[in-house]
Amino acid sequence: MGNWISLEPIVRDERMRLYKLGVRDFQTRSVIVSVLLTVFIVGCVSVQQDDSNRAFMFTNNRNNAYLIDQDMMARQQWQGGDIVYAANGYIDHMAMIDDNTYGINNTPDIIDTDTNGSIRRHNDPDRWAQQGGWASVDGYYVAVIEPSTDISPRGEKTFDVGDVFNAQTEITLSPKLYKRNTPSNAHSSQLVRDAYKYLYNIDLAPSAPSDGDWWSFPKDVLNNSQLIAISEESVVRS
Amino acid sequence: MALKVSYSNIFLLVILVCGCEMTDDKLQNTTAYLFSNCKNTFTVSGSSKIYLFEHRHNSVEFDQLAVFDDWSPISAFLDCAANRIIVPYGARKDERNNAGVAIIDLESGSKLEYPAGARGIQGIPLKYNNGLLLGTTLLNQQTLINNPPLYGYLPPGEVYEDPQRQTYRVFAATTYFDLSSAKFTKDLPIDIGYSVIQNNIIYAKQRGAITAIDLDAKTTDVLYESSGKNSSEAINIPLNHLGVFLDADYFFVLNNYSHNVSNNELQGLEANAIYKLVDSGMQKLANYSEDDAVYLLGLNKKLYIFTSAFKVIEYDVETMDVIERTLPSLSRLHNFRIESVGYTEQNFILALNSQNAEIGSKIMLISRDFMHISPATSVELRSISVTTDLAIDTANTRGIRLAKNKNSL
Repeated sequence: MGNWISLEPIVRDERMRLYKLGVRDFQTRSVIVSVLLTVFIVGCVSVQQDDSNRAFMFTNNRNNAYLIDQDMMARQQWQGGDIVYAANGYIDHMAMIDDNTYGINNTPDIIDTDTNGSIRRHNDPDRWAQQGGWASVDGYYVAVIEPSTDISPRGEKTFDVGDVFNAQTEITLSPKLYKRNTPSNAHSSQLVRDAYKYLYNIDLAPSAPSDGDWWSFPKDVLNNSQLIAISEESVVRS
Repeated sequence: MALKVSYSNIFLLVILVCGCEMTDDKLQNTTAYLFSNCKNTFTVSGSSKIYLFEHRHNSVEFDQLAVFDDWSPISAFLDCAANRIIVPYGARKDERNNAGVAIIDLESGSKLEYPAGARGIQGIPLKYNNGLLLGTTLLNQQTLINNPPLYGYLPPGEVYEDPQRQTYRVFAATTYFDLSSAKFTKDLPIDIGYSVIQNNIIYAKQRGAITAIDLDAKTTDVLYESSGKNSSEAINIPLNHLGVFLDADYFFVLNNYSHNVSNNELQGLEANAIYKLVDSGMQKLANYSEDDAVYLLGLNKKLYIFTSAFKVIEYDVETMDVIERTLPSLSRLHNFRIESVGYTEQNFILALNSQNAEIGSKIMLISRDFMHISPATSVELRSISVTTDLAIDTANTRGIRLAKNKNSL
């Protein structure tokens, strides 16, 4: 019985796979070709952009070293409003940390949007990263430049989900501004941008057009000089 | 010529009949013998496959019954009576809107998917009546009429005002998947967080509180509520602790990742100690030897703490006895760590994840009396979780960690 059973699952497994291919054969081939093309094109662009981002972040940290307490940075914890940037080589994504999970919950939540632009809350960063298939997940906080030219992390206002909702309401009230000509991965970084406008009066993508035309979300946000990498935080374990 | 055709036809017909009979026979055997005792079965799932195993009676030896290619970040489990595997899935890779429940029929091997739409699914599935309660990710805005709402928890400080100055709360609804009709039949206005269910009461560990949600009476009792983020006097339960519900009580242990104040430090609490929530406070029950706890189980009045050095600390909540055991055969598995622990009536099931991303995981069984241990079996999985008929997704009950230092992983 044991031998027979151990062989049987392979047959079933094949049947399941054949069933899936049978239904979506044409779609599958089209998707594979599209994905390969996209990976090739976007991958080339991403490599260049990633390199420039890393160089930018390094330069930024070094230039501001005299203003930032490195020890404080090393101890940096996730705080509400911290920005999470995730990428997997051909698509990227942006989210925010919601740290109002004090007490019982084990970790801060991650706030992002689905591809329709609706707000979601994920209470398991590990699985969020796994499900997204993100190869890298990096944390950033937004340094606020005060009149004294000191740089301090974030504004005084506490981050909460209600403000994000209200920010989104403003987006929604603007007639489809951000639904037009934008790729599906853009909504989440649009939400991050508008939440920061609403919460801290900071435009994270000042060079981006305000009328909602296509711009290179979320890299425009990532390229903002006020974003500081949280060097010792990661939500990916390997 | 006509005769030849006739013989050929008869020959083909015989082959066809035999073939059909063989196929039928196979299916019958599959149904009858795929597993011999449901109580001894367990599924192991994760990043790429779903495995179905069964251990032998009174033994730690186990056999692989089936393996399916699928992405199952949320626990899959065997529905013995219907001879099928139920696979709640969150968004799959690159399909951020794709979540739902898949059902794999063990008789035919076919899989059907029932999408939950853009809501997303997360947390621990709960078996309820003949269905599943599943946490979702999509946030809903609900105008507050009762404050707090009778049904559903409202964390302190989480009442918001919209631009029209209307107060509201946000929550991720719980959705119910009915297994008999294979449909999502209703949404509940409650956020179940990480929970267990007992007598139709959900004990939920959620934002800042532990609540008892009565599904029949549609009421929510707050059993424990942290005193608020801005309270300077309160001692908060640390982030990154390992917690379990045991008979509606909440127990937890701390590890190297636990902290309740800034600078990653613990204030007012000890590492290597077992705590229980009592009267809205944290009571220390016992200390154990200095080691990093990686997994916590609560079973039959006992807590089992699994550590990074492959020790198991057993704490009896009635007698308060502490027994520490070392599992020497596991310590030979270099660069592996315990990722998930499931259990059957006879055995613990350990899922070990490799520190090396190129290497898959391992499964091994330890008898509940710790007298026997099986050899390790390799599985092609990352992000591994074990589910049995008794325990539905034990992977998340340990809590989730955010790594503070990539090099320490």
